[in-house]
Amino acid sequence: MVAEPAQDQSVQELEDKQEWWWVAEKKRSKRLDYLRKSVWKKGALGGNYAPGIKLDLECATLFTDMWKFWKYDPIMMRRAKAIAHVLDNKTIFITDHSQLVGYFGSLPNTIMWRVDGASMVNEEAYNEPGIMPEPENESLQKVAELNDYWAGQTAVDKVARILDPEDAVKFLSGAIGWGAPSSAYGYSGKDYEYLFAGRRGFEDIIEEINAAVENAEDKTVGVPGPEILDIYDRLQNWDAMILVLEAGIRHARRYARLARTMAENMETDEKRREELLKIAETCERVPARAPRNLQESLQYDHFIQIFARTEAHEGAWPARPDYYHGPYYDKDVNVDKTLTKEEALDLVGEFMIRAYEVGGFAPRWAREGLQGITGTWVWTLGGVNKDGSDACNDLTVAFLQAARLVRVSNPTFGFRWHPKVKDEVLRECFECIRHGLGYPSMRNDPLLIQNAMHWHGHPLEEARTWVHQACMSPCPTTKHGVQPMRMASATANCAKMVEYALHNGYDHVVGMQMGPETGDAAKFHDFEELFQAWVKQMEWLTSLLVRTVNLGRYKDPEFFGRPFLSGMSERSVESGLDVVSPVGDRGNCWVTAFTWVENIDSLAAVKKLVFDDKKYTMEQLLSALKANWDGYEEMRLDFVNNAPKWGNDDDYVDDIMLRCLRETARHSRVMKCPSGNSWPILPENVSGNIHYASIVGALPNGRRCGDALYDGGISPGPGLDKKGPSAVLKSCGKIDHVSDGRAFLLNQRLSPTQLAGEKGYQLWKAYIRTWADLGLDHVQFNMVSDETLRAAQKDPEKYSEVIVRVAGYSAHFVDISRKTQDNIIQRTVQGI
Amino acid sequence: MGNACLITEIQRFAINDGPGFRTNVFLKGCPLKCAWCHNPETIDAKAQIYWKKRLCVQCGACMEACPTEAIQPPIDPVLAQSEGVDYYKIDLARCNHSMQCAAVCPYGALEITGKLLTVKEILDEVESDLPFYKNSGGGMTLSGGEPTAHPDFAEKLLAGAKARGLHTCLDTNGYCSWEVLEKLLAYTDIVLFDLKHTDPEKHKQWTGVDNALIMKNLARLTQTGVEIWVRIPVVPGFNDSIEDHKAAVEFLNGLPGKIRRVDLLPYHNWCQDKYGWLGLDWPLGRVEAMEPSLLEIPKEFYEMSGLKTTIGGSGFEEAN
Repeated sequence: MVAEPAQDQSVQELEDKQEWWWVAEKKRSKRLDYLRKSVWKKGALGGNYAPGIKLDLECATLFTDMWKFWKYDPIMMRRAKAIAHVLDNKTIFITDHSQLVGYFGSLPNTIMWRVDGASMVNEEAYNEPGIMPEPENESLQKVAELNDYWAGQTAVDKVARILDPEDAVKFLSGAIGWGAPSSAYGYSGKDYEYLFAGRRGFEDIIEEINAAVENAEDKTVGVPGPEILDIYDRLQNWDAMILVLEAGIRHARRYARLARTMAENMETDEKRREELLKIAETCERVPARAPRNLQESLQYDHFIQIFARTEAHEGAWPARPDYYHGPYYDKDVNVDKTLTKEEALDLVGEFMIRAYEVGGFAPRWAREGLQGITGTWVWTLGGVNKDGSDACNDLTVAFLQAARLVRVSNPTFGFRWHPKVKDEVLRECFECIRHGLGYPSMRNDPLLIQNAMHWHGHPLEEARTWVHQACMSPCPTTKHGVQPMRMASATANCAKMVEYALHNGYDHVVGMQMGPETGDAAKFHDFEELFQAWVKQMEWLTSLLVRTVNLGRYKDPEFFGRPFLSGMSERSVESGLDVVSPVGDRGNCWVTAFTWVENIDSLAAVKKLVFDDKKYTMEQLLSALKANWDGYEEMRLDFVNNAPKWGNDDDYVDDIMLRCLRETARHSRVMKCPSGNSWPILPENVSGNIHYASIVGALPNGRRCGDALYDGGISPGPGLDKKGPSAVLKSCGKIDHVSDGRAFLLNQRLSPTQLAGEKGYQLWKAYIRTWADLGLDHVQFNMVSDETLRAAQKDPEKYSEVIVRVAGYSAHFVDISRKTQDNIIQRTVQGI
Repeated sequence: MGNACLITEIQRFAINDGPGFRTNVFLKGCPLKCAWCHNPETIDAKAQIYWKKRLCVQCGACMEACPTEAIQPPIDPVLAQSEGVDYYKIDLARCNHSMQCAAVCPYGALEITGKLLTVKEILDEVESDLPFYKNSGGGMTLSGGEPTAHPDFAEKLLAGAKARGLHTCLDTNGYCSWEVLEKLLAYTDIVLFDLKHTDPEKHKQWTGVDNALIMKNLARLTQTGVEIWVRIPVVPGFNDSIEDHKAAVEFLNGLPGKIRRVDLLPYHNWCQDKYGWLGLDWPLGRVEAMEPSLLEIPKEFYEMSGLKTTIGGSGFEEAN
């Protein structure tokens, strides 16, 4: 899958040339090398799947068969039986050299198809060229049959039917946001405190459920009254949880049998035979009972992830592997000495590869938004313990080292930085960045703990357990803190706020009245009138999205239901409620704010050139915008070059940023989620800056419809940060990262030459300390030179392993579209 | 004068001009005419105009605005931008520096270099990166041009910086009277002292001035106890031979007092655009930039003689 490396070059030579992908190949073990090279890449290349990737029809068929059969069961039970049927019958396999098992498709090259999620996605699957298993005609027939069956009864179909019709049309227009208001698509936090800190296996959980059931049944045979009525539903839920947990245990034991059969009847290599027997022993132990060593612990975690993904399409992977598996690493490597560091590194590296391998079918727009990867698996490392002490351990270091050996673009890491992190751990983070991985992103732990407490009322100790729920958002891994369903479907295309404020709520791109009529901008007398119009558009846009997601969340137990995930939650095991029920959950919601900074630069440009300097009238500006700046080039350049821009430490425009954020933060407290908590915004872009390029109209910051939007949550516009990185940080530091929003994504471009050697580390460390002093919560680094990127554009084969950061995640550079590539290169090289 | 000076740039987040993260303040005007000068816009003490031909669409607005008819009539922009075409927008002989052309240019193709700023204005901007200095041992570096060519202003600026608690570096070519240097030392933490060549003839030929004063000042400086970083711009054909390095090492080791380190700065021609913008020919610009690794051997040579030496002058060589 990769071009031929120069075999005769030494590691030192390759390091000097910063050819990190070949360095990794030379440094990693034979096992990791084989596993890395044999893994199927599920991420789409510029929207297209790699040759050989096929839709998984086996699991979709098994699921549908059993779903049809139990058509009179309550939804939780019906889904549990369908999931169990998949786990009991799908094809399983063990890859050569592997020590960890479990894949959620039926073959290594298949992508899972969430057949009960959304009819419109199913239709896309039918029409996607190249992904039908052979024989293609039969597969197409099968897909058509499945689509016919599911049409109208998928989770999203059910939500769409009950939405307010006007909201639905606007939501589905694609202009103001994206997402699916259902747990069928999204991501779930796991109650790791219950499972791992609590040292529970599935059998322990089943025992607890049985006790709860017994207790509840005492009531159902007791005194009649309204308080016992909902117990009947809960009993069904509990039964469903047990059913699917037991299926999980059986599924693992199928692997145990397969491994044992291979060891005893087929394997001739003595060492491999032992490894297979170890796999068998591991799968007999977990997930039934709590793990005893690192291999069991990682295997347990992986099974949980696979089962959760068998139940729903999950686009993220909230996890904190060093924290929860660290004690087992310590026991095996440092205390019992049953594993060497190198053997442990093999397990850790494979654990990452097993996650990289996971991929589900996604519609084209989602694939284009997540170029090169199938979701954002941002794993959390570092941070503090519940008592506030440094939580970094030997496994933190092992993960950072393994990342440089396997060089996958998914998972990536977010590192919870705090002042007590030891220098040796920080150096490992730096090495990953210097090696061009683009991760870990640095997260400011003390700030984000405060943030989680401020917005959602998590108690301090719980807030300290936080993981990245998706790319950015901190969510605890506790009973009431876990977010079981993606509540970020309120993903807003914020540039529309200022666009609508200028056009009286009318959208000239989609050609309909979208936002409220906030007045003819040509008649605005001062900036305040425009700003108040912006506030109204902001309130309208976020409210519409939040209404939709709230409804989806409220109805999810009825429309979808998650028996397995419920079994992973202490809250559900105790209460018998479906985990997606909002009762007893703190919400953890946020509005993902795409294309946010365009508002700031646009408002500042109008304030400066129209209202302050009176160089242009509002009518002139509106005419220019309606013409998409065509014929107004000199005026457009004036708006680009002679109006203050965010990111230059200039209070004129930075104050507008703060006003916009604070108005939105105020409204965040007005909007409530089903459990009564707030909806703060989280400015980030993923690849939305490309997706929305042709959807957002011309703006006063000089942007034309069709131009890529800015690429980061609060990153300045490309090339507009004229005063360099310190001014960018200073501007961003004016934002209160606790109370102005949920989290704020900042991209920084690094130049490899200046980060070489010890002086590079010292520079970076001083930068990070300043970043923390200024009170920023996030920064991620893009560490590839322009030359490398240009060369990669010309000669993709040769550079297939180059990883770059594209807002919120890493991707292999050659996988992303030319337009995104150009956008990255255009980013100001910050010279750090 | 003395309270304000023409500044070509205030460069924040500089990492190769003294310890840590620094803000470089470039004063306009320099008594030397070094053939390799990387900042040609800082030589002339008056404000100048850049013409950035890549941005120019030849709209002719500048021509109409010019009071002295110093602007060339528009030609085909493609032709104007092509290599080797002898077309420069401004007739420098006729130009009276009214700057009207830059004021009207909508494309940013005509731009003034050299902005009159006061001590307070400069220090306000320098001070905004305080958190960076604090974490890296950084501060302000006064550079140029040549700061000692503006003794009163330089003194006020450095004194002002010290009064605000900022670390200061003075980046100088050393071509000034000792009294001026001495006056500035009172407010200088580190002197970045350029050493170009030890041979008087060659020095004069390539910089326009004799080096006796410079070498004398450096010797005297080492007796004051101030921290000194000697910076040697290594230029092909000028001072890059082993004999040149040998002479430099000999001179530096023969100084009466200590210097902290030597920074070897490899020649580059990345500033050739700037010469073009000013309408200047730059013969040396046709020499390719020097590969920094070529200085590894000279570096060893300096170090063997006991001089702590870097290539590139990073401000992060030592842990802070």
